[in-house]
Amino acid sequence: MKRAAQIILLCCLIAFPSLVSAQVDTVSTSPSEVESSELKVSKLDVIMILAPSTTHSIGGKTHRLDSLGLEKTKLGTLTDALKAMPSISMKEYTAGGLSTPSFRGTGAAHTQLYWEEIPLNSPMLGQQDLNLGAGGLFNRVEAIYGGAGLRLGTGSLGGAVNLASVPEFRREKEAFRFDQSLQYGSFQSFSGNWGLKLKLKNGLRSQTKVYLKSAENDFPFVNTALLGNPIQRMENAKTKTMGVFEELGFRYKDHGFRGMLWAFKGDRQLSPTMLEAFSDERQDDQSIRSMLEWTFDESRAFRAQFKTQIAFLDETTRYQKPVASIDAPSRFRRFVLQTGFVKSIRMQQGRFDLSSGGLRIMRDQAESNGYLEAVSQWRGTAHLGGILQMRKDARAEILVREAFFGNQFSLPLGYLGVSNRLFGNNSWQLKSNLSHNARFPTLNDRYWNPGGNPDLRPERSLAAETGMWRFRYVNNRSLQYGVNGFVNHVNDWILWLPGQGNIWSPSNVRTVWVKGIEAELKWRRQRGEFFTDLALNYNFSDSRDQDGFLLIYTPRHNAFASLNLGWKDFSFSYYQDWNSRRYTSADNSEYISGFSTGDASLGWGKQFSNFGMNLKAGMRNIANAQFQTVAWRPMPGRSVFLRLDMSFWKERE
Amino acid sequence: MKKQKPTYRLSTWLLGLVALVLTFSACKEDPPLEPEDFVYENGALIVNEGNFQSGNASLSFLGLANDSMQSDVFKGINERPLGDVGQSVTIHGNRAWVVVNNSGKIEGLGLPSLKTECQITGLTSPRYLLPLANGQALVSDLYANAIQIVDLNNCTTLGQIQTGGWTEEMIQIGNRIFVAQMGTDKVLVIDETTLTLTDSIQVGREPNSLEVDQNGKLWVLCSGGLSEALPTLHRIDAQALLVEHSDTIGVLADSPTKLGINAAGDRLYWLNGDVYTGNVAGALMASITFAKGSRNFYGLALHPNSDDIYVTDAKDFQRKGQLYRIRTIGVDSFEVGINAGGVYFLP
Repeated sequence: MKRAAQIILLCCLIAFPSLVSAQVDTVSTSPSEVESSELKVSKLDVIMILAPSTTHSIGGKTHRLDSLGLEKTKLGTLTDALKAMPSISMKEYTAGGLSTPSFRGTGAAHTQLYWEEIPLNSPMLGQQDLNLGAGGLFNRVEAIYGGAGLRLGTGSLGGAVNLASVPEFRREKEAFRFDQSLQYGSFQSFSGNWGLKLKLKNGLRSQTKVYLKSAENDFPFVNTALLGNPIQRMENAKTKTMGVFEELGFRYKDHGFRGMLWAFKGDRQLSPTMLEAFSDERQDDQSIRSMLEWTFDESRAFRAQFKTQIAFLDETTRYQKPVASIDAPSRFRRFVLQTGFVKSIRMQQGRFDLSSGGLRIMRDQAESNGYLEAVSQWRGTAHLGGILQMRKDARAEILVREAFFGNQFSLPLGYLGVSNRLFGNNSWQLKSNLSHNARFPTLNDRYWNPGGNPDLRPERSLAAETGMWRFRYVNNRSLQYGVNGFVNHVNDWILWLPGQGNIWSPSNVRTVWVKGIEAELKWRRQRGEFFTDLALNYNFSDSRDQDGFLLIYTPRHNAFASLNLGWKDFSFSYYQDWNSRRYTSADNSEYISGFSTGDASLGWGKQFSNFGMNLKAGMRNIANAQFQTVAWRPMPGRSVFLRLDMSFWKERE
Repeated sequence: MKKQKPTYRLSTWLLGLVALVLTFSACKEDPPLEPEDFVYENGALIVNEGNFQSGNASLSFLGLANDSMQSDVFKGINERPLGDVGQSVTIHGNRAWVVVNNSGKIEGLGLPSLKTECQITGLTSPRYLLPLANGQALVSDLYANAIQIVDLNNCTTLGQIQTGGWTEEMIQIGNRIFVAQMGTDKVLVIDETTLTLTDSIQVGREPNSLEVDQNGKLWVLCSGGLSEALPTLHRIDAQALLVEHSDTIGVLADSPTKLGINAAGDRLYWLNGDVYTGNVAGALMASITFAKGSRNFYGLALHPNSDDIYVTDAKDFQRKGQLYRIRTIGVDSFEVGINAGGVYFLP
């Protein structure tokens, strides 16, 4: 067994060197952690490879990007990371352009993005541009679906995504490590990541990452808007993003301290649609995100980890359209103080335990020439959660959250999840939950001049879901499959509509019903020097307003399949997705056709005593499909890339 | 007793197939009239703006002889979408000139086929086209800070008249061309002979539309901007270039648009939420002639002969709208495209 595990570990490290930078999943009784009690494997590295990627806290669904996924998206953006997850469809204006997600058929502002549990969504627009976030900065990218997102905060009517750097336990002996990843591709695209990790004496450790991405994006496309469908080249689509990430931490007895800084700058031209004569638009973004964290592991009386974080975000966006003499800078600053605990639970039938609690206070301040003056707001939320061990094979989680917004308090928000083992079998789980969530209006909704409406109510969601899932691990093979159904009723959905004098103004006018089904299967196998990983996903979501029309840009069907093969020093990967049509007008009279794209790559890697390298060549959109995710904004056809990863390390004496 | 599985011979299958083909053949209707065979005359051409950067501008056609509405006729005829933000149409000679704002072009459509005969491209953000007597035309523009001079015979641009700022509707009286300049409180005056800017007239905030009455007087509708000033309506002596009379026609939050006039030239119409009307002679006496109710009126036109009023409802600007026709015998309506902003009449 030990020998087999060593072989598996070696193959994985050779085939996917960046696994070396991935983290270990800790087994915890915390409801937000993976229930991996089925995994009775002693080698942590094997767990990493064979652990279920879709995990389940009590009653809810969480998808964690696994090591393969992290490796693939290391040089990509957060868009690439989320594309690899079920039930999320992306809306991209073009390659590298503005990109927003839609979880389970909801709007972009219904996905909450967190960094180390600090809310990142802009208080002005209520959303985040995922193409500004680098995929390689984090070793834990986790999507929490539906009402279970209440664990992190309010507003996740569709879901929540948390990005985190989890301390790595695997290479305690490493004192120094340098990673470099370089990728060149079609349309003059370049992506580079450089990472330096140092482990100093007294438990002090440092992690520095620098990244640079640039692309001309002058790809050819078939212009179906013109007679004869001529082939044209995309113009004004150049992008350049660079960033730095620093994490400094140390432990002293039961106390852990971390300081983090994430700064980036993005300069992007905004390309014209197929029907525009030209575009001279551009958008420049700058962001500084910083955070201090103190954790205290109390293991005697209360048996919990207490965590306190202070964060400061300063984000600037500047949109320019010279031909129209438009220069529109906007800026927001956010201060966050949050504290909380996650308690270890002793499972005992009939026993109810307090499992988590916390308080978050946020102050947002924003400036824009769309406001009459700088505006600010206080927001806060507090929660308490508990777990009831109902029977030996059934547990329930109750979470209650209360939020305030200026001088308004939300109705009590809550989550009730139940997990039940089925058929007397540890591998089968029945998961169900009910939730009540709310999203508060943005600063633009309230203060935009003209049109802002300060009297808006929060959007309210009442959701339910249930599903059956199975995860089995036998003899270096793992199999996970399941099906999930959900409904979500959103009231007071905020919509901007023309009012007096044709001035657009937001109001709580829409009611939306979302219904959906998710099915997935994941099979992994390690046999000698062969490694196989197969994933199939199908998602259906039907989001309709009160008039029975499907919401725009929410495809009803999407599916993807991926296959990863490893043999000795070689790896092969294939990914294919299918997306149904998406409507672009509120009365469903206009739509973008569905599309399917396929990507493939071939890699070779070698690992030495203190040096490893990996070479990979790949092709995206192999069939050269001409497709759009936003009307008349073409996405790139076939493209190729070449990637080189190198790592150097030194172990402690 | 074991039940025998039914079997079918090949001939049975063939017979069934033939019957099926015959059935569908019998149901086959005459081929529908192809769009390019259709004659677009004696009707209303509705320009549907679509949404900015959504590329969903379109043309609808209402045949007045039989009240039949056809949607997206441009795409049906020319096998491509019209463009991004359909702004206006000018019927001149044997062509309909369709200004497509955010595509920076003007489509010259032959009449009565509506087939594209030529395109004027390379424009910045065109709004309205005003034909001149010499085969040329002026094109107002949102961002170019100039009015473009174009040749309608060759579909080329010839030059420009610097104006500074956003120019909107234009109208010719004698050899003077009057231009509403949005973002200001001025109507610009251009000499037709020299094509130079010769003068300007002070009016209310944000003049957006112009009409000439039966007395040759110029009427200017000013929206007041975004709650910057009260909306006003002005009567101007086009010879003396003097404002003769001004009326306040709403409150600060109002934003009236789309000034129109009846065939006799003695009654004005405009949109200010509802459809308003007023006299050109004496006191304006503005009154509501068609209330909007829950509708969102966006376009207004008057039939040049019958005085029927055509009003479009853009609803929430995100879905297909409605065209209302107000006649003495009653009101009827037709579905149009997204953001129907203008109605133009084909002879």
